[in-house]
Amino acid sequence: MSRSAPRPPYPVAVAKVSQKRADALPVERRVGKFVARAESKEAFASFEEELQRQARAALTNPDRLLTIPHLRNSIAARMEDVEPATSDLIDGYILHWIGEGQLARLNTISRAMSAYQSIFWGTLGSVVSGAIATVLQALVEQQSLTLEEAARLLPNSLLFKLQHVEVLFGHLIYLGFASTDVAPGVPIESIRVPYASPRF
Amino acid sequence: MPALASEAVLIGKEGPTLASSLQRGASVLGIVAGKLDFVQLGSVNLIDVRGNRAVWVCTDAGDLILGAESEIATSGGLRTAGDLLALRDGTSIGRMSGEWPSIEAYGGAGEARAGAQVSMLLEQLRATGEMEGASSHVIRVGSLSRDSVKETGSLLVGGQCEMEPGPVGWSWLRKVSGKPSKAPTASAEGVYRALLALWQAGGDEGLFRLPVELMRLRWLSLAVLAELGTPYALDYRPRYWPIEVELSPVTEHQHHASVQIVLPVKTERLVDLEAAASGCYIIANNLVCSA
Repeated sequence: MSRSAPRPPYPVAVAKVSQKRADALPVERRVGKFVARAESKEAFASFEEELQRQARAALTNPDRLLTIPHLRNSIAARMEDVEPATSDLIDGYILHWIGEGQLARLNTISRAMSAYQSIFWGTLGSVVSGAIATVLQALVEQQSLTLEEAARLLPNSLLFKLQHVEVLFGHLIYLGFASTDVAPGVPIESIRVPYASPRF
Repeated sequence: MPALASEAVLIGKEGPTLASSLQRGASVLGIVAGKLDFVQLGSVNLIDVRGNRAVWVCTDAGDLILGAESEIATSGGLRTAGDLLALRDGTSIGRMSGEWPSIEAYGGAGEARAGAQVSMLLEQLRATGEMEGASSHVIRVGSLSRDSVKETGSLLVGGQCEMEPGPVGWSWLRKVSGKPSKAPTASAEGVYRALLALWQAGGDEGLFRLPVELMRLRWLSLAVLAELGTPYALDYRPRYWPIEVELSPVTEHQHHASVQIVLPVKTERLVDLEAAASGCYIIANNLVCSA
């Protein structure tokens, strides 16, 4: 039985460790808002590989749409022996993968009507864009749409949580394609086209 | 010969036009022998690039999606979009750092371009802001105060209008039915105000913003601003992958744009444009490309 090589220690955020420990780590990268150091280039590479494996586990099977803080916490919880000086680097990698296309995002609004990014695994992109087109088309045809009505139109892969449909509704509101009459702070249970009668 | 996103906006003799609607023999604004002039296109070809990546270059004068081999004019000569992408700092993770040359830009000449058709610019803005409402088309606006509805709102809908306020800063205009009203005459100033009304109000006075997804409105806005000769500056936020684009008026035209972001993007197809004559440049989304 072969034994895999021990993994190199994870990189750490310089600001979160002692100067002595930081000085002992020769390879430096900028990761998000932090300066990070590790023993070697390979340590950064293997750390990213592990993070990506856990990000995939967090976002697929079933498919999930998560906020960046939620995804970061989910990744950290799945890894062993992650100290805060390392977990603080996860945000930077998430932003990096969004830029590189491994992760995709949907700009949407929360129940408090403030904008945020909903993150999902990149390969789900066509499903999400198809779902947005379906919801928008149904909205235009029916002039208003409830969460339950929209859910009946969407593929099961997006329906792990009904909140995913709310994320799609939020996206259309964020872009000004739909309005809603729900008060801030409560679930966005319905949307409508402008000038349509409110549905309560 | 640049391969551009099909939604890229160039300036034809009649006004702004989408790259996808250009045909062989059309003329678009460009640079010939160092002077601003119309460049005749010798060929226009749609290229299916499904599965391949293009490059998205964002500057303070405009942004453009183009093929990796397409050349863009920089202070250091022509550089391919792929070259610009390679200038990103590879040791910077989740950040947008790099040493980029400035990009040659065209933002107009301080006054409306001779030949610019103000009424057509308004019509194009109107069409881009239009969407489905209940039993009629409506126009989405983001920074129109109630005081401006009568003047700028009427200009956008072409007659007396009403406004429904909505969430997250959007409102919608529609023409008042049953009341015949004369459409106000479009002026350069009126078109400028109409353009700004389609953007959302930013946090500071004089600052406007648009979700990055509303690309067609953003790119048309750039061409309209150039046609009107109105100086502006853009800011893409956040840098790692922008969510919104900020627009602010500035006092002077910029001829050298600063690169803010260069990213690989997936795209379905590009439009390859080639000038009929050699040594020409064309202007797309107010950035200068080799033709």
